[in-house]
Amino acid sequence: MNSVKSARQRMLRYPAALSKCSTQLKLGIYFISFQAAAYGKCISTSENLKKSDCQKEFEALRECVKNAM
Amino acid sequence: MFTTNIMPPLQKFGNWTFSHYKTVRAYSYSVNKLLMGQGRKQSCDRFYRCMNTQGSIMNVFDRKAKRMQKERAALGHGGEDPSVYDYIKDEFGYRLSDRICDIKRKFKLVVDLGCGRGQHWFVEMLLYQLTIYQCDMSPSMLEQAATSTDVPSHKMVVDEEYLPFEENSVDLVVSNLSLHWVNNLPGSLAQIRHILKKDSPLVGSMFGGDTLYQLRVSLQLAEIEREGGFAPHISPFTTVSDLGNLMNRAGFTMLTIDIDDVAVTYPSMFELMQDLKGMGENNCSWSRKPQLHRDTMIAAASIYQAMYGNENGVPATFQVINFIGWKPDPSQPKPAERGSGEVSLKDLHRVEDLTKQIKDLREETGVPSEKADSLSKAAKKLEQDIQKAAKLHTERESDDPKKF
Repeated sequence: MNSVKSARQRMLRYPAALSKCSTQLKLGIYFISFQAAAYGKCISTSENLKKSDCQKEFEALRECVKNAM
Repeated sequence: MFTTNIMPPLQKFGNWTFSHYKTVRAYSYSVNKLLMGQGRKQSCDRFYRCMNTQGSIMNVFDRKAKRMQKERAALGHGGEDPSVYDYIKDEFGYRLSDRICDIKRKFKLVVDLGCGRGQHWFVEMLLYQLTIYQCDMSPSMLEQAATSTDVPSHKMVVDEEYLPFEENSVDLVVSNLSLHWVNNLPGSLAQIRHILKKDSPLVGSMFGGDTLYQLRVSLQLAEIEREGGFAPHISPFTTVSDLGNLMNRAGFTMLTIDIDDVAVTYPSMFELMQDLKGMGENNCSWSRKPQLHRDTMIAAASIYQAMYGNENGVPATFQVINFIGWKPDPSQPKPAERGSGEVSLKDLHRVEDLTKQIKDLREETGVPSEKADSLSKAAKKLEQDIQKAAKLHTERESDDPKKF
């Protein structure tokens, strides 16, 4: 089925798109932390996680992945 | 709808024979076909409860869905090679075969439960003739199962919860990474003990409590943050202590249980999920959510990388419990009676002294007394044990650490 095939192909592109948004770049003494790493850091350091706690970081991450796909 | 006169007579596990298996299988298929909708789960639950005389049992997994998932995995999800995903089962099948080869016994009739694509290395390792019954619940996987030309093997489509073998008929039951999808694990183990001959082993491996904990945590956190709550995406696994209790309850003795922790590194969470699907290990619990939103997936992958990732990718832990249990038999060694000990462990450090004393005693009296005799026997045995331990210790020290 065409829709299933195209869905599967799309799924295979996610890891590459995510990797573009996840590496950290060191510029001089500053770290430019990319979106996925920023989102992950927000989640792992938050206590009492509730819905939409890291909404801002996630929006940035979603934009990045959408552009990278 | 079914009325009570169609239901097969309730039998205890001890009296199950092949004919009862046939009626029960037919009944379960018709039940699944007729009952639909919300009522199905409760009715299936009731059906399973009727077939077990020990009270309520868990009905966590949708076995029909699991069979469908295994079929799809075996057929390659549209153009893939299914043998690419066999690495976990291969590795643990090899370790299991190692353990089987350590047992000094010739097995004539072997049953491989949940064989998948049939990785039985021990068939080539063992140098004597045996017959093997490869059993799996998915016919397509069975078709692709490896067979060797020297060993007669029979392939059977068997559900692990309804074993069609007769009582006291099988020399060895092997189960490699397949019992973690069984609903009625106590019943299944009881049936395995039932079909085994006296003093015959069950050698198996199954996933333990810590398996894929990183994936479980990442998905939970992502779902809480994105959707407000979380659903189970990783199936529940048995812990080591639970497995020990289950085996004891099923009637196995002389248990040997140990854990193997293997961490496999993947580039990201997506590859891990794709591999799990390729192995046929996707989620099939009744309470699974039908969809996983792509927002949640992206979030979970980022969390996985941030919390557990390293420069090579993300690790996924597979904790496998290897167990060996024997069907009881009067010929098996029993623990000694309380109060039958003759030498105190406090005297361990002066074994040589004791033997010298006994020798002197004997020379003096000329006739060895009963107590002196038993003392000398115990002392000799202690000496031998100490020497064996010392030899093993030096062997271990001189061995290459890479061997382990």
